[in-house]
Amino acid sequence: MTETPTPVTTERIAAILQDEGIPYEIIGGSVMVAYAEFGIYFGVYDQAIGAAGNWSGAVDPSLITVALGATNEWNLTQITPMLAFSVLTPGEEGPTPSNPAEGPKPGDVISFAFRRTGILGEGWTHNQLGAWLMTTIEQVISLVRFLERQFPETTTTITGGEYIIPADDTTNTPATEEAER
Amino acid sequence: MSSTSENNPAGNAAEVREVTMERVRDIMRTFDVELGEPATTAIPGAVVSGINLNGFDVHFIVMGGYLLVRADRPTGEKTEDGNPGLFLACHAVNSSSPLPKSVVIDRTPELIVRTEVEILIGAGMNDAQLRANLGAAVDGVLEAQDKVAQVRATYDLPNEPA
Repeated sequence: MTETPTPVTTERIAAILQDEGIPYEIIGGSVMVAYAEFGIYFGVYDQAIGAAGNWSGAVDPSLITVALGATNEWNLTQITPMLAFSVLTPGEEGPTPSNPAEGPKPGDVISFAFRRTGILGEGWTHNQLGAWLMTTIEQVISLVRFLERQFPETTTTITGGEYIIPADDTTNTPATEEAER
Repeated sequence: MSSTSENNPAGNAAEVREVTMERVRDIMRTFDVELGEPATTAIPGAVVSGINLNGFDVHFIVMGGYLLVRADRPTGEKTEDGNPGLFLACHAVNSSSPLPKSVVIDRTPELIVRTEVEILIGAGMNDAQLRANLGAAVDGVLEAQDKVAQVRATYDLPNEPA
């Protein structure tokens, strides 16, 4: 029995998360999965499905060189998601990007963001969508563990709360790729 | 699993099924691109095939439920110089576009820029899906190489780090 690819919708995304026991919220046109350590927004666009989100940890801007190196290292050795970072000024209304020309101000933090994109074409089967959603979530969890190891002094979140790094360092094996050609 | 696919190529094309390197090569032929003979690597289960496109080495790798399309470009910059320019350029391009991803390979004496698209094939694909993904991936990795080179050229980081 083969499945036929059909258009991907937020309803289909929500149904799969529901089946997997993953709590979600539908916000705007996106399906949001949020835990203390990260949030992921799944959105459906014209020809693509996107997953985008942030690690909730806030890193001191003095560590920007470490951030650049860690970001490249993750992107080099892990298949997905794509990691990037920015310097943000936390604010009452939420963080805003810091002006790169001015350099970080006191109170600014480095925030890490990740993205993954899938090409939809005429649509995906149930299994294709399920596999993409679940591998995305698994990979984001691996990413969070990676960032916690890179920045073990992280104690605050990008929204000003407390970030607690668990003492237990169990790691699943993420989807890795060869580090060399 | 269909057992009549050999006698029904059209039906086969529409069937969502396992993606193999052979299928990748067949689809790339529809773009007039002949990939090199596939080879295995040190990683169990990985199959690699490559071609030179627009001056870049482009590799296609099938492994672990993923199809990876990569373009690699040696840059002539020495790893030991510690210049962050290429890292910043890759990061800038990544920050501004969702696909593909650009990274610096710093494991060898010369820095290499790699642009890469990952395609999840663990749940199979039909021919139309595979073709759409491969077309977008090849275009994407080549375009990203150009973008990284352009961004890199705008930095003025001669002998000092940022």
